[in-house]
Amino acid sequence: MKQSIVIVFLLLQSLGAWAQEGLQVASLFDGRYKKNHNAIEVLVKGDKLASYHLTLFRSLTLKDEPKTFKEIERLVQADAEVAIDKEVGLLGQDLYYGFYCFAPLKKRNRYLFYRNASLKEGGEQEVTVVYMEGYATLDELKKMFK
Amino acid sequence: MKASRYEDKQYWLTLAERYFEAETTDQEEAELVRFLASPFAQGAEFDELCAVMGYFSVGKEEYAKPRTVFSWRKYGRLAAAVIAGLLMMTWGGYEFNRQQNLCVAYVYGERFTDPNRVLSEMETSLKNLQYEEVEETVDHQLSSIFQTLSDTNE
Repeated sequence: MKQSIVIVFLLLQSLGAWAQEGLQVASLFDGRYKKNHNAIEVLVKGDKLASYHLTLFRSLTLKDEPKTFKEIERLVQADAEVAIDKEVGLLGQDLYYGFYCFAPLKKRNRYLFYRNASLKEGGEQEVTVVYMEGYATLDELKKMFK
Repeated sequence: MKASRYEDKQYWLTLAERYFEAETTDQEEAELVRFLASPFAQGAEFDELCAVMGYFSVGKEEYAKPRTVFSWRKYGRLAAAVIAGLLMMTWGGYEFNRQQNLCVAYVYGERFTDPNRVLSEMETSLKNLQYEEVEETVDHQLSSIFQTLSDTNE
């Protein structure tokens, strides 16, 4: 009886494993920014995303932490290595924005978006990382933030 | 010894008397029962014995029957296991549904689960991805390339 309880409990916990595991940016969503007063973290999964043709949405917007901006860029660049499609913009040596498409997982498309607004003169001191899964195409998604 | 022990009426009368005195063993009582079932026990002197042994024989059978006593402990455990199982299933279903449908935002350390607020933050983060057109970055990169070439020629 006790073993059954433990097994069921572990199975239910495993439902929390996201498909962005395997990507370097997954570490950004491990809960470290939930209490951060410079961060906005969003997690939406399921019914609420139906109208967007998405199944999972995770975003992190971090403000006023330039050291962390570099670390986030490093993680994104690492994931870029395995992207099957991408569109990037650099400002000097730094990654200004990046749109990355990864190999589908369970027939769901996977996307990673990044923008470092602090690289623009007069821009907000913030970096935004968005990870999405679903059935929307890249063009559909780009229309969302145009 | 008579050819058939059942023909020794005196033996059985003595045994019957001992039965009424509660001095007989179980084996002797069983023998008495078999004797009473035989044709040798037809006499009136055994009528009373037949009646009494017959009455107790029925009582014994009833007593020997396995009793179905309701066991609170046994059924209590079963009920507890069923209830625990139902609770687990309910909790598991709730947890599964909760995992499948999540809507939460942490805004500067404060947690929000109101769908309107969370979706609003989602929209905002998407707007944060708006970028200035690529031409500017291409110009900047071309400048860098030409600068590098002129540095090389020098």
